[in-house]
Amino acid sequence: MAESLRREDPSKEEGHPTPFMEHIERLGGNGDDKKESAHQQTTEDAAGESDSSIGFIERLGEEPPTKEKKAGKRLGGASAADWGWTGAAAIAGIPLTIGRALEYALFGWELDSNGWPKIDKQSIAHVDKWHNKVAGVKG
Amino acid sequence: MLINGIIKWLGLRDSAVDENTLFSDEILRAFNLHDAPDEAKAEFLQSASEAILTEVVKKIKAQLPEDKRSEFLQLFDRPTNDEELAVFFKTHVPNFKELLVSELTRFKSEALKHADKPDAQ
Repeated sequence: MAESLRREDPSKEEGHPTPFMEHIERLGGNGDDKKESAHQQTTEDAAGESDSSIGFIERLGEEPPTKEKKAGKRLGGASAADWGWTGAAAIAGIPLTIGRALEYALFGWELDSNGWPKIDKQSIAHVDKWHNKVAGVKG
Repeated sequence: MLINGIIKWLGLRDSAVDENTLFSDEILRAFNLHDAPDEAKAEFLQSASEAILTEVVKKIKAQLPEDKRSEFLQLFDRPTNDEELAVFFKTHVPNFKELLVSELTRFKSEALKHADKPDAQ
């Protein structure tokens, strides 16, 4: 019954390197120091002045990503329930932000009956534990 | 070895995938983070979530009519309460859920594809 999230990458029709690849290369633990330092160089150079191979993709036909990143951050702090993503909050038993709900959703591949990413208690338990460790809360 | 067999039989192994839940740490494994400190995992998740939402914002901006794009971005340039944001989205971005699901799926798909590459590990 649950619709699966595991489907083909819908971005293929766009025909250009996806911006996620830069994030993936930056976030990945593959120990690629050159790429990491290149991205740090990009981050440090305001308004995309760096010529790093990672940064140029972001600039291809696009505005500098600053506004979109800022908007994304703000959106991540909004209440998931206000957008109708109530399933996650119901399982967590607490008000959830869209950003945190997305983090939980990274560990599942199904949709709930309302079409939102399905989240289970194990995902919440793991993610909260990792965050609580950062906050210094014994978990 | 006997103890390991018993542990496995009882289902007490340190399993990445529990058949009774959705939880699967393959996204962490794709980034070689499954054995990383909790702090690194938390940081990764936050960054991933922000990256996904950034892409969602870009998609929203691209689909909005020109006269609504600046209004959309201005929502995030000034103090805005969640209700005001939600009203704008419900009116002008009725497919927000679909966009979010699409970008979440795309992120995970790309991450796993990237992890499958021989030079990624």
